Amino acid sequence: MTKNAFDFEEMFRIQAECEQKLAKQTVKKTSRHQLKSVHHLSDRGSKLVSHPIALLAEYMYFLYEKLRDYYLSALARFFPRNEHIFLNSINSSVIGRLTFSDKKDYHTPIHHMHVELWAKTRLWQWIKLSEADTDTEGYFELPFDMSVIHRNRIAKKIRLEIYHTNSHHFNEHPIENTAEYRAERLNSLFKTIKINKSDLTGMSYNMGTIPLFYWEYRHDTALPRVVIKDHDLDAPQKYPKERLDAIATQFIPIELITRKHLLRIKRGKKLTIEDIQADYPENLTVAMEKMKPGITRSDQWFADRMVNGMYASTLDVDPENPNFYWLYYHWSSYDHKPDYAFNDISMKFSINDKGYFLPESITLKGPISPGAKAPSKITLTPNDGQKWDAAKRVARVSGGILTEVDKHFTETHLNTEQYAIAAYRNIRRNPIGSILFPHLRNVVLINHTADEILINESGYINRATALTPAGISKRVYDVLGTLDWKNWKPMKPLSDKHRYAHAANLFYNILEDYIDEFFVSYEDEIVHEWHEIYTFSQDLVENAVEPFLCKHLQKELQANPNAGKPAQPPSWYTTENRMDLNLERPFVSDSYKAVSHITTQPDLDKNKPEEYTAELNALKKACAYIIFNATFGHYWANSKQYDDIGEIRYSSLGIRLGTEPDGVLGSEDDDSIAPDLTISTQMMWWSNMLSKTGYGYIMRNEQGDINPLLIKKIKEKESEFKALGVDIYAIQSETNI
Amino acid sequence: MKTIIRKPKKSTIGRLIDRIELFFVAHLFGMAIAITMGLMTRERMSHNNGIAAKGTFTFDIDPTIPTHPFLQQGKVLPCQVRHAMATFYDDAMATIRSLSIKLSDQSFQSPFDMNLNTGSITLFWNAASFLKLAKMRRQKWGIEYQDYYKKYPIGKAGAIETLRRNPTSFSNLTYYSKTPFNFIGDDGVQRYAKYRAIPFDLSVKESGIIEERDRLEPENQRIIPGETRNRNYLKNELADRLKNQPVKYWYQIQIRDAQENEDQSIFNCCIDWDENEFPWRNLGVITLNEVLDWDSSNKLGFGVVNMPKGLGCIPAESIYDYNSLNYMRAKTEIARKARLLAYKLFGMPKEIPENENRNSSTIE
Repeated sequence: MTKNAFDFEEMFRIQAECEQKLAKQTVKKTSRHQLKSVHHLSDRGSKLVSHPIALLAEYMYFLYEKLRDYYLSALARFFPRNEHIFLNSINSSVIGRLTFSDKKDYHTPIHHMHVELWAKTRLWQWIKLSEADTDTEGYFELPFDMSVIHRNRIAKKIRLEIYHTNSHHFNEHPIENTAEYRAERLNSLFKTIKINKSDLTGMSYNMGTIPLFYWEYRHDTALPRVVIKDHDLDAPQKYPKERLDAIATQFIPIELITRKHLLRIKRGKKLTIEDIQADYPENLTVAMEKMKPGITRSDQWFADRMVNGMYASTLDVDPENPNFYWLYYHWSSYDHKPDYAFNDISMKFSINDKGYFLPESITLKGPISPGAKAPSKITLTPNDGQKWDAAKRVARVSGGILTEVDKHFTETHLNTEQYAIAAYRNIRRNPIGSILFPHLRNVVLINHTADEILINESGYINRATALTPAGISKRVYDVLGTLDWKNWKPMKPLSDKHRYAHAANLFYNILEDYIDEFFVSYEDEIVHEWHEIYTFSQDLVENAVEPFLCKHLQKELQANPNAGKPAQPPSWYTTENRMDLNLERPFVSDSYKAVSHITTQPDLDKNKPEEYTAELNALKKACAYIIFNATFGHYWANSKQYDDIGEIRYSSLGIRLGTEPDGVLGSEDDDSIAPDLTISTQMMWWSNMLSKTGYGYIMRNEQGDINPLLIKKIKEKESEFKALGVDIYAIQSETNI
Repeated sequence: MKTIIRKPKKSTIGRLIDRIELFFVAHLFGMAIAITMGLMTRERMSHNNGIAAKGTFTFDIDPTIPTHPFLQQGKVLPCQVRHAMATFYDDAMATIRSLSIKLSDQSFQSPFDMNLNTGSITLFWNAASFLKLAKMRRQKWGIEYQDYYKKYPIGKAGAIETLRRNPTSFSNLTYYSKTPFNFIGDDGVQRYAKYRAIPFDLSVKESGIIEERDRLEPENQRIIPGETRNRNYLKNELADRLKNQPVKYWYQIQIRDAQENEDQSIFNCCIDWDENEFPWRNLGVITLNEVLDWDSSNKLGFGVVNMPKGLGCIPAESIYDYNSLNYMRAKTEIARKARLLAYKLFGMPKEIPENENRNSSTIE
């Protein structure tokens, strides 16, 4: 064991004290700078508006927008849109069909899209002529009274308005005792098409097939991603202003610190890692070190963070001794740069009689020093002094990049995006939308931003970590191939002190309970609109990646999901929080798919009770999985980043082999191992930015679309969460950062 | 969104504007046809490719038909009929075929005229849609109305219903008036009537109903590749037939009583009246004995204004009114006069030659 041994209870007391202190630490925006939008963020200098003329222009534009909004709201007040349909007799109709516009998708109908036909009079009044939803084949028919249009020659402009459903409002009053909280669809205008009044001559006017650029799948990647050509113009969603305000307030001071450092580096002025660290707000490890030096480098802290920190790792039982547990980071099959320490790591843990985790050994496979030629493998234990501490650092760094790429970006961001695209493309009438959409909102926007500044060739991961762009792509594809909703369960607690697993199970149980109650209230409507679930499932599976199991596990478990070879894993293999290897993967479009079908039935038949129940249960499980990953799963990986990668020398996302003979096992003070100054300050930028969300929490329910039943159920468990160190008010409602 | 249905209001001024618009549209249209077709090209508005014959009309009235002074059982009137096609000079194309009746031996004056076309419904339903059809014709090489059919599926359905390709004879087709007319008989009760002519031999099966290929693409009216029928085959067939035997049709009527707050759709020529509720009843027999020569045929004119009192057009209120079609027809009389004037000034148009100028929209 390392020389700095601490009592677990003392360690957690210090941690709690520091967390309390840091919670009060707020960064105030004192500068004049403004941030245009989230996608203008960059660790190499975000697009801030700072020049006085630009600020003035920005202010003028702000005034213009206010005036325009005032004008529009005044128009709306003076000429309100009467929702009543003017009708004497139906003698005409406008018909057409909505499809997706992509070249591979233009035959795919957009079902249940709400369409309305409006006329604007010469006196600027609005007359509603008709409304309808598209049918399952995307066809719509808007019957209307033509005499209304030509009445007194007053109607001037006719327009077809296409609305999409991407949000709900909850009525908290009971309605006929069928449900406590009723969800009401909120449709927002998606597209307007003008119709020449003279074209409406009576009978049916066919607008033909109207292709909509609407939640299209990208074809330039094998991942299920949405097309966003221009974030400001054609993104399928938009951040609310409050979200932009929140990030501007919290983040601009951090941005200015990074800018100052980058300028000093550019000008060759003196700057050290310690200077950089000191300029940023204190993080948990820095604060704890100030109270008790060495505490965050202890074995106790290391083990606790590995299972309860940002990493929240899944451990497997030692096949030979069930008292030990293994954690593996295998990187060697992913393309990486040679000057970084990027070892395959095997960590062995034990659990003491009080349920606390302790590290037993760390094995590093691969180069640990510069110029190492032969493949090396070294196993270090707590008896190895400084090298053991260095090995823990290597493991922390490796865990950092793994958590960022695997758990944070892929498991929550990309995984949620694949469900979000399929859901927004297909779910409109089905009440399932009301429980999914609040948690799927905006994930595609932040993922698009992440592509630009984090993942792509010029992104931070390529610049600051061992992974190359090719390595990142393969890793992300593989990890996404290990994720499936079917038979998924949260991590099984290995002891009383396995707080993450307990908290995850507590949250998941709440979700299951909430979804069960929701289904009791909405079952008939869910079943009535089952076609949407069917197409949702079709899109989801059709666009999913291939399943993945690493070669080592293929051999050990005698399984290969990508070859239609399921298997019952041995007892040492942890099955929770992982893909069910017992299942044969769906085979679609000549390949196996990682994601299972939620349903294969276009309709549900109550006369087949077994099938009926099974399909409904599958949908419940899928909903719980989706919401869990988008909320709690993301919250955990995201919110603890500043705790675990907010101190440069403690852990970063990339650690170099250095220049000394001991290589990466050298001292923590060795600057040749640590990230360079630019990467260091950019890492602080990232860890601050990712942890300081400031918007989108379940309990705050900022947009009023989260089912009050969920909020109520979480609130009921507040004390249980608190005992596990979880502040329910910090649990995010969406994957938006 | 809760929707409450309200009735639209229409002011007196609004109605007046509607009628003024209809008046101007109909007259301007008639004037335009008179100048561009009647005077400049010596053509009818459509249905130029035709052949006329004469014979008699014998009233053989179903006793359930309400009495009317014009309808006298057993009475025989001279009758002229013109069979034609719209709008190409090639009988082998998929076109609408027509039968226009005139119960007189004059070229225009008549107590009763009626224009009938194949198919029970048509491509347009009011003056506005007819103008839209005319505007969107864009005919080239026998293909027309593509955009119109895309925008107006009822128009396409009407085309499928009305087009006939290569019928074996004019005499085995059924022709409909499609638009309803007034029927106010001796009892003074307001009724509405539609007319049709069917082959006298009820066992004859209608020929020329278009097949799947034409149903999918009614805009393509071109002759079938390898067509051996010549461009005048159908007119020639009628002329040959009349040399040997008379051609006879039953002339029938469909009548319905007017209702208070009448559903305007009953006037829609794209919607059939239910034949069970409003059965077709015999009115008389058309007997054709002799073909008219080309010049006499051209001089014939048929107008909806030539109707007995009580059987005329139903008043229209606007260009969107289904009855505006007959209103507009009535206002194109000037075009017939212009055409006759042009015959006098520039001579009669030449007869359609027996040549290989196929799919042609001109007489050459």
